[in-house]
Amino acid sequence: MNRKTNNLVKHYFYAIEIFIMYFLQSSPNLILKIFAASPMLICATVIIISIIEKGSSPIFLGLFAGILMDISFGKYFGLFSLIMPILCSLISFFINSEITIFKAMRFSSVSVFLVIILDWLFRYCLAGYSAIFLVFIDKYLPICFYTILCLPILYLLNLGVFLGMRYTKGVQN
Amino acid sequence: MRVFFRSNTFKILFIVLVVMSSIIILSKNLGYYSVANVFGLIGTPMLETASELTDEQIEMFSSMSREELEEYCAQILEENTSLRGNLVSYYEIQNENELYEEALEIEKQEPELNLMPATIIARDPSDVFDGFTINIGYLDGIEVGDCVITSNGIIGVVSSTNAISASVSSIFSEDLSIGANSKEFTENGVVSGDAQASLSGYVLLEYLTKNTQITAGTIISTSGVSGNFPEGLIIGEVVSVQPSTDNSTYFAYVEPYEDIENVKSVFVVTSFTAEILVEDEDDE
Repeated sequence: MNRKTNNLVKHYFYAIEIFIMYFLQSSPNLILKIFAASPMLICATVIIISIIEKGSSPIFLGLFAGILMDISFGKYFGLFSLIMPILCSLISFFINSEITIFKAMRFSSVSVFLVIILDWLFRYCLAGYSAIFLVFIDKYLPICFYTILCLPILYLLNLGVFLGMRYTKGVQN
Repeated sequence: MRVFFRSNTFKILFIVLVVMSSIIILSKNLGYYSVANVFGLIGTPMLETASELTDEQIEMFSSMSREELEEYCAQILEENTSLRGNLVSYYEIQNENELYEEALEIEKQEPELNLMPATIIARDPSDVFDGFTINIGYLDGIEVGDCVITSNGIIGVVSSTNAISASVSSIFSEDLSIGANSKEFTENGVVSGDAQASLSGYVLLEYLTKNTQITAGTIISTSGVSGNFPEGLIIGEVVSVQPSTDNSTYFAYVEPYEDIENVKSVFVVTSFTAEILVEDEDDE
C-alpha cells in the first residue's frame, strides 16, 4: 500500500470507530453504568485521535464527532460541531509527536474535563436550570471520571492503529 | 499561539468553522435541523438495532469465560440451525404481543386515548433529567407536545421530532409543568421537575394549601385542567409533604411509578397534543 492508501484506510477506521462510539454512547443497554453514569465515548475517542494524529485530519474528525455529539444530545445543535474542531486542532497542533502515554493521559483527561465543563455550562447552567453545582458534582463528575477511565484503552487502540498503518519508505510497519 | 494562527491548520479550521456556522444558521432559519434529520435517517435504524440487545444478553456474555463462551456459541449455532425455520419472527411477534397487551391495559384504563407504541433507542448520558429518543417521528404522526406514557403512568412529553425519531423530555425536566391532583382528597397542584429532586428520582407537587390533606402514599394523577395533558393519567405516589421556603404553601415529593431511567418501551398519546413545549421548538 502506498502512503495515500494507508492514510485513507486509517481515516476510514477512525470514522468507523467514532461511529461505533456514537452507538455505544447513545444506546441505552450497551454500556455498563457506574453510579448511574455513562462515559462520553465520542469526545474521548476524538481527543485521543487528535493527540496521535497531526495535520488537518483532527479538524475533520472533530467536526464529525461534534455533529454526532450534537445529534446525540438533541438540543442546541451546533454547539459541539463548533467546539470539537477547535479543540481537536489545538490539541493536535500543540502536542509533541513523541508524547509518552502518561503525558497523553494527562492531556486527554484535562481535555475531557474541559468538554464536560463546557457541556455543563452551555446545556445546563445557561439553560437556567437549578442546583447547578450539585448537578455538576452528582451527575457530570461521575461522567467525567468514567470517561477518563476509558482513555487508556482508547489510546492504546488508536496508537496501535496509527503505528500499524504508519507508512515508511518502501516498508509498511 | 502566533505560530498556530499562521499555520495551514488554522486556515483549514477557519474555513471549516465558517462553513459549519453557515450550515447551522441556514438550517435554523429553515426552521428545522436539516443536518440532524439527515444523520437521524441514517442513525436511527442502527440505534434501533443496537437497543434490541437486552441487558440479560450483555450480562450473560460479560460473566462467561472463554471456554464457556465457545461452548455456548457452538450450542447456539446448533440450536439456531434446527430452529431457524420456526423462529423466524417468533421474538418479534412476542415483543409485539407484549406491547399490545400493555396498550390494551392502558386503553382499558383510558379508552379515549389514541396510543402509538415506541421503543427507546437512545439516551443522552449527560442529560440530568433522563430524556431519551424514541424510534418514531413525524412521519408516524408524532408531534411536539404529545404525551409519552407507560402502563404505570405519564413519563414525559415529546420535545422535538425528526422524520423517524423523536426526543422526549421526561417529567423530571424543569421545562415541564403538569396540572395534577389527588382524586382521593380532590386537591390540585402543579407537578414540575426539579434538578435536586430528580437526582433522587422525585418530582415536586407544588402549590398545595396549608390545610392540605395529602400525605405520604397519596396517588397523584394529571388533572387535565391546563388542557396540556389528558385527565387521569397517573403520575406517581407522594413520598413526603413539606412547607415551602416562604411557609405560605406546601409542596410534596412525588415518586413516579415508572422507572424512567431504565424504561425501554413506551406509548405516545397521539390523539391529545399538549402546547407546553411548542414555544421551545419555535425558538429552535
